[in-house]
Amino acid sequence: MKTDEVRRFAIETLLKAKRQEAAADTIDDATPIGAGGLGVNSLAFLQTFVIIEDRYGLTFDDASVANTRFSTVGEFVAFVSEAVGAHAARNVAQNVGGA
Amino acid sequence: MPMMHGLSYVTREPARTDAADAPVLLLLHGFATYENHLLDLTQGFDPRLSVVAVRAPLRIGPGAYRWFYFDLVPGEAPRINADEEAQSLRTLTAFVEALAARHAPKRLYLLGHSQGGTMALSIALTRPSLIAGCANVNGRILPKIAAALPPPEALTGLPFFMGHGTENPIVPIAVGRRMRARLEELGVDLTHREYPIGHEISAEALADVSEWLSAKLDEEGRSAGRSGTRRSSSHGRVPA
Repeated sequence: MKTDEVRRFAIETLLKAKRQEAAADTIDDATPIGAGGLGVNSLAFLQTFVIIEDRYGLTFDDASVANTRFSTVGEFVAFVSEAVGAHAARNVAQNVGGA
Repeated sequence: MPMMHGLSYVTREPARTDAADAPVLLLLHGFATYENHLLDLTQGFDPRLSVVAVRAPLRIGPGAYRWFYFDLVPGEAPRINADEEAQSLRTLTAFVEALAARHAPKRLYLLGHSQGGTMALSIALTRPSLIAGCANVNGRILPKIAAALPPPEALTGLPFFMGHGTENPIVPIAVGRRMRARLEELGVDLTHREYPIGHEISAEALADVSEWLSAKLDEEGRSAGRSGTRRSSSHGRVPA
């Protein structure tokens, strides 16, 4: 799983939540997700997690998401990248263990 | 996570009472949050209580569940998804029936915030025989529930705590005050409080709910061994 691909998909999903044309290269990690930045509302933001779950076949932990403060694009991308990476690593370990 | 009648839940055992005999507090969270929200906020509640925090059945996203969707229309009551609400109420009613059956009758209290408060009120006003009391913060009585209330004697003396934000943009304080008037007409044992907050649940509101619950448990303890005393003796309405 390439980190760049996860990052690009996470950002594109955020931009779609705002119903803008995907232009992932026009924003950076410091861009606010909500007011003053992308303007993604809390409900649309939650739904971006569901889209990412569908794409990568994982389920985000309720408490981890609920207890994390997501202010900027960078915070969101870092969280998603870590979760997707950990999920991929678990899958590899299970496949090796079952081989 | 355990599940009963299609609803997942977590529990916190009482610190001071044998769990088998403990009164139960059922927590009903609001829109777009989850069971741990109220479970964490009620850590300091009466140690005699066994606490059950149920998760709403419909997922929005991680850590975010709902009883039903709704749209906000300026100047109007929230427009709810009636099908989702009806299904959730059926599911929750079955859950509460099972929970009440596990414990001695009349020892189950409800606490709901926002949409969870609305669900708590729906249960309390449609199945009052299942519960010992109902606390609501910033929820509302749905019109369909108000239109189909049980006979007054079924509600007379049933303890209700109603907390409402005076700056609530979703369920305006005028709605809270109309609910107060309606519940007073019904002769419930009403504690109505208002807070300078919006739609959230504040530390002050939680402290008042905690105090209210402890008082009800104390009354319950004093009434133990006597029959039929709760409904006839507990009309201690507290003014706002």
